[in-house]
Amino acid sequence: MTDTQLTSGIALSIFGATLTLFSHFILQIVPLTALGIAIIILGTTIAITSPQPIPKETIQLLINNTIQNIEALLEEFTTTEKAIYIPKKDQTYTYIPLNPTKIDTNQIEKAPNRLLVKIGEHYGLQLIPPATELIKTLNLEAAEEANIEDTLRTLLVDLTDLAESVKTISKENTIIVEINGIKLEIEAPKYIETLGSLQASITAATIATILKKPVKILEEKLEKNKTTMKVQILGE
Amino acid sequence: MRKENLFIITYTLLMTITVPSLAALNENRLDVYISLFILEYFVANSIFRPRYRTKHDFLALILFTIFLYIVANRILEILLR
Repeated sequence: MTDTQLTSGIALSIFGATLTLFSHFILQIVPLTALGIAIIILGTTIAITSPQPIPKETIQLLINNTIQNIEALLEEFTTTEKAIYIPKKDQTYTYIPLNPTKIDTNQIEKAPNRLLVKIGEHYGLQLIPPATELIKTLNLEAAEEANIEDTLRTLLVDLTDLAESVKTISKENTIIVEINGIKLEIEAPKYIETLGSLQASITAATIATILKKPVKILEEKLEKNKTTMKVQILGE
Repeated sequence: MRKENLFIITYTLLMTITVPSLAALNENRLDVYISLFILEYFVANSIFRPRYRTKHDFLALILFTIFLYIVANRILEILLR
């Protein structure tokens, strides 16, 4: 798909260039020359537009597989609190406290990238949330200013087809996200309890990556084909 | 449908409408056609916001430069008349 799109774009541009030159110098017909120019622009647009090399269904299956693994792991632990999404240098992690205590997020950020981490006297699980690699492909860390709603729409609607639409409202240090037309519902109660639904965990990980601040899903209201969540931004 | 595909389809449709419409109006100024293509590109681009292979949309930069050149040319033409 990748090469086909690039090749057809280049081929179209070459055809457009030939048509432009021929109609401008030989035929001397302006509308035909314009058509040639239009084909050049269109060909270039097709060539530079990002393709989707992996089918959406495959992405959904891979994400679901990851969740089942995390679910199996969570079943072995007693988790009492909601997970905190921590952006680190390489990628965003999710920290699940195993003790019900208030933890300084700065300490978690400095913690080594291990599965089981000890912060002060408290233990916690540090996992890589699903779709983290997908978020990385958007190169959000390098972007100076990324729109949260646009990025979430790209991830959840265009790339993974996990939902139909995304709306966000920012309010002080919380962001309310409404995701409509949910297309994939996971059967992982422990996962949903700690990390939120699949769409919610991708949302939280994305927000943390964009804002470069730890975030936590305060509450999530799951309805039929719809989920509304309140994401709290932690730290200064 | 992916927004990239929607962008390409919309842009193709807009250009396919533009050429016969202006030709039917007996428009023989090439810069008018090009200006409209550029405007359509920016309109479609801002509606669909497609993602590109490259980090920056260099085509937009080229088209904008061409558009500026056409506009400047027209202004100069009016002023020097």
